[in-house]
Parts: sequence; C-alpha cells; structure tokens
Amino acid sequence: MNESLVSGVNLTKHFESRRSPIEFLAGRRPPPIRAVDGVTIEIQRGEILALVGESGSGKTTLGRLLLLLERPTSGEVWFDGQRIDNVGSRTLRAYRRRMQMIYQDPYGSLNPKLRVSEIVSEPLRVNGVEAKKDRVTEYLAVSGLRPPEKFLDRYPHELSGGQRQRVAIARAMILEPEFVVADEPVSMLDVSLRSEILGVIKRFNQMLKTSFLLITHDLAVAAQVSSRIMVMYLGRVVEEGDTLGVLRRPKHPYTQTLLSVVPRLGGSLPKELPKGEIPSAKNIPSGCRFHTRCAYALEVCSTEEPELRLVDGSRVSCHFAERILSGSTNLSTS
Amino acid sequence: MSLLDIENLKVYFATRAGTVRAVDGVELSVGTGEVLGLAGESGSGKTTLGYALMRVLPRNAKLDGKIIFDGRDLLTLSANEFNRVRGREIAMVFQGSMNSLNPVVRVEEQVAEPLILHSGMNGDEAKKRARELLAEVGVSADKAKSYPHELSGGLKQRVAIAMAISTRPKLLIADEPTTALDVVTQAQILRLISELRDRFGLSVIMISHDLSLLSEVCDRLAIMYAGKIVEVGSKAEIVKTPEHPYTQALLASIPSVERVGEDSPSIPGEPPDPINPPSGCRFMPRCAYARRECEEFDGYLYELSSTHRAACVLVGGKPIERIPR
Repeated sequence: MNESLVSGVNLTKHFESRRSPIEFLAGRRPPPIRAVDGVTIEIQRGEILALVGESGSGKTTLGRLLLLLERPTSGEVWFDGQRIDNVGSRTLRAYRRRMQMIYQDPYGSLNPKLRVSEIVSEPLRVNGVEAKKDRVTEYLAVSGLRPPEKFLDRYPHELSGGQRQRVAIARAMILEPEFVVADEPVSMLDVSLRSEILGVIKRFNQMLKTSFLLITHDLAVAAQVSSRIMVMYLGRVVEEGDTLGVLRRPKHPYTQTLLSVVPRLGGSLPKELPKGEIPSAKNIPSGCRFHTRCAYALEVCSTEEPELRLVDGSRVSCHFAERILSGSTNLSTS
Repeated sequence: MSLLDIENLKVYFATRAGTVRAVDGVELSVGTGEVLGLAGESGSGKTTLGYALMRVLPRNAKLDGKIIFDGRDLLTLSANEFNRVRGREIAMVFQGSMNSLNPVVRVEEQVAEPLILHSGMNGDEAKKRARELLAEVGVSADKAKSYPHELSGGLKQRVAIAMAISTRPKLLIADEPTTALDVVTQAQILRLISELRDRFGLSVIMISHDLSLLSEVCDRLAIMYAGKIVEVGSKAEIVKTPEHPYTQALLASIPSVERVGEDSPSIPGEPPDPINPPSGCRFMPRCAYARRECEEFDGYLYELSSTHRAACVLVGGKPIERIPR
C-alpha cells in the first residue's frame, strides 16, 4: 500500500506572460508567471490526497503537470515507476488511459449533443476497450444515478448540476484509471449536494483502488474524504500532513488562515482576516512568500525563504512553526 | 420595526410546459438594519424572490400578493413610480454582477453612473463621490481608475457593491455575493457587508445555498423550499433548534471541517417539479416523518416563538424529534 503511484520531483512550471507595448519597445521580456515553483509531491496507490489553496496558488497547474497535460519547465514526473515527463506523446498515450481528470464545471465539461450513454461510453470507444455492455449502467449506478436506465437517453441539459457531475465522474472512471485529478469537483454545486458527490468519489476510490488528487479551496471538502492534505501558496507547498493533523493542529499561518475562514454553522467571521489578496505569481515576494499577509511576520521572513521541514508529524515551511504551534504570539522574544 | 413585509407573494411563469410556480405564497419580513439570510437549494425560488422585490422579471411572469416596503405596496406602484424605488431605495447585487461590469469603462466611471442617473449629480461631482464610495468598500484610489479586467474577483465584487450602495438604499439584496470567490476573499466580502450594515443601518437580504456561511453574518435566517418559506427564525433558533425536517436535513448535509472522514447525510430524492408540485407539504416526498396529514397541509407557518416559525404539521403545537447529527 505504501508505494507511490504518481510523483512529481522538484516540479516547476513557468508561463510566459504577454509583453506590454512598453516592454516590447524597450526590448525587455516580462517576468514569467511562476505558477508552480519547486514542488515535490507523492501520491500513494489508493489514497486521496487533497491539494488545498486559494486560486492563484498553482493547484490546478500542479494537477495538470502530473497528468502531463502541461509539460514542466523543469523537474520530473513519475508514474508507476516510470519517468514520463520526457517521453514522446505516442508513448504517453498508453499512460493517458490510466489517468483521468474530473473538472469543476459540469455545465461546461459535457458535450451537449451527446446522450448520457454516449458520454460515458465514449472513453471506451476511443480507447478501443472491450467492456461488458452493462458497464455504463453499472458506473452510472455507482455514481448515484438510479435507476441508471432512466438516464441513458437523456441529454446534459435535462440534468441538474449534481446529476451532470455524476455523469462526469462516471465518464472519468469507466476506464478504471489508476490516478484521477478531481479539480474542484463540488465547488459549483449546492452545499447540500457536496457531501454526496464526494461520497461517490470515495466509493470509486474504494471499489477500484484509484488514487485521487482532490483539488479544492475548501478544507471542509478535504476533511470528508482525504487521508492527507497538502497546502499550496504561490507555487510552493507550505504544509503537508495527514488530514487530522493538518486540520486539528495546523502549523503554518497560511493553513491557520484557511481554516479560520471556513464558514461554520452558527459561528462568526474571524476577527483577524489576512491583509489583501494573494500576490501575483509574476511578482513573488522575497523570503517567505506569505510574509506580506502573515500576522506573525518578522524581518527574517522577508529575507529568508523557509524550507519544508518536519514539525509535529507534518512538513511545514515556516521559520516559527514550533512557536506558533505552542501558541506563543510574540515571536521576537526567543 | 419592519422595513419590508412580504405577504403571500406569488411569482408564476407561463411557459409552454405549464405554469412554473417559482415563488408560491411567501411570507417574510425584514427589519431596519437587519441582515436576513435566505437559504435554499438551487431552484427553490430564492433568486426569483429577489427579482420580484426589484421588479425585474421577464414578461411571462405573473406577480401576486403584497410587498409592503417602507409603508407602501410596491406592487401597486406604476412602472414610473417604481423606477424611483428601484436602485435608489432597494438595490441588488446580482449573482455574477462582478462579471457584468462594462469592460471598456474605468470602474470609477461605472460607479458614478447611477449617481448621475438617480441623484442628479453632474459628471465631476459623481466621479468624486464614486471615489469616496469605492474607498468605503475598500477599493483604493489607484485601483479606482482601473478597468475591470485589471482587478481581482474580490475587488470587482467590491465595485459591484459600491454601485449598489451608491444611492444609499434602505435595502440591499445580495444574491450569492461570494459564490465565485475564494474562501479568504469570501470572508472579506462578508465582513464588508456587515460593516456597511453597521455604518449605514442598511437592511440586507443575503441569498445563498450555503447555510453555514449565512449563519456567520445574518441575524435571522429563512429557509426556502420549492417556492415557499418553510422555516424562519433567529440564527440560533435555526441552527440550534431547527423544527422543520427540511431545515434539519439541510443543516445535516453540510460538510464540516469538524467531521474528519465522515460523510454528511444527504437529502434523499430531488426537489419537486415546479410545474406540478405535490399537493400538501412540498417536502413530503423526501421527508422521513411524512404522514397522512401532510397531504392536506397548506404551508401555514406555525409560531414557535415570537421570532421562530415553521411550516410543518408536526410542529403545530409540540416540537418534533430531531434527526441525529
């Protein structure tokens, strides 16, 4: 079980940004957008790893790198013991069917002109996979569309958002992939539906032993189904650990922030909110990338970038993780 | 004292497939300076109710009932008379309004527009006022000159809010004001809306499918199901002692960071067809407590306290057992 299926080693992805007219005239190149900036990640066989962070943190790019939907600027991607970031697209095709993606928007990800049965069976047809005729109905049923026969001839526009996402999940799972990236699979759905759709993902995870990378900005989503959580900020991992440890004893100030803003029934807004918004990945702050918004930041934070190190069972990149964890708020007196 | 009293409001749409009863006999009031949360699933009629208050409904809509706002029935006003209420006394931040900003106009000029229209200011006065308003909602002076595409989602939403409050309305309707935003930005926008309420005594109706989010900022909560209000009460009454089985199921279904590794019980079945809703209680087909009387139930909101009311036959007098959470 403790064998990694997918891993990324020191992955970076820099996108070129468009030159402004002034930069063009001056013959300058704009700084690249450093979407993913040195991330090492391992996903074990059969686990659900939640990748958490705000938009702009690089979560989606990292997911796409692991699926080789984007080629990394540097670093390596490994799948089932093979390095796959440097192979040709023909070789990659054999791996493609073993990995799938579930998208955020069930209104945009289904072909409106195909019936549900065609949508879900298309991957089988494209890959020339012989499967029993009832596999489509079986997978629809596992996805929670019951009775599945009722849905086979429907078109996407006849389905609710939740039903569409179930179809999208059935389509992603029909080839029995070993690895699936689910990118915000429930964020467009009603809160009351989210748990049920996450339950579908969990069911496939148990049925097929599929590994999932669950990308979400909502820690409540991560809490329900993931066994581990990885928190990203501006292209870097800031904290990584088992779900209970990260949620009950968050060590990085950014993780604490994310946890404090999760709406709680009957709760109230947190007194302290982080300043401003996530900075641009074109212009990343020096030192600790979070220092511009961190309530604890000291001088060292703006000059020295903290490395990921083991603190209380999690990997954390904060100079003061131990002291923050022990509840001391005045960090300057050591 | 209530600023808004909605009495037996109905909004029906005539469609080829039949009459869609989007809002079907809603009773609701909002006090001055109060934040009311309106919660429900997609299709429950929350947004249509907001549209009805703004009288921005398509031609095939039929309105019935009373909307008493600040002492007069809005539904009896002529279109011209209502133009002086809409945008001036009642304003709405529509769902996705941050994405409907004009892409080729600087945001301060867009905020100035309603001022010229409603407050009769000239261009320069309006622009100056627009910059003040933008500062009030946390958009700095240098950002005020930006075009929408140069701003983040959170800032665009602040601009949309500045436009809505520019005429100092008495009532602000905010429809899913944070749906497309990140969790941190979401908290910042919710904070902003509560601050505006505190500063200007603004009444707010906040519409969302996320009951936990509403519970953090609202004084009272109303739960809507299939075109009807099924329960209304103070935040504590709804969160701690919900009486309607739908409210209980809705509360139980919310994923929580407190419940690690646990599924939240879902609400079985689907919401009813708004063209042919079940007779009697509309939640009955999905309700764990359904019984014969439910078929005859007329949706009456029984009083449980001076602030708490629920529309369930089982409530009529004695409280019902709660679903274990």
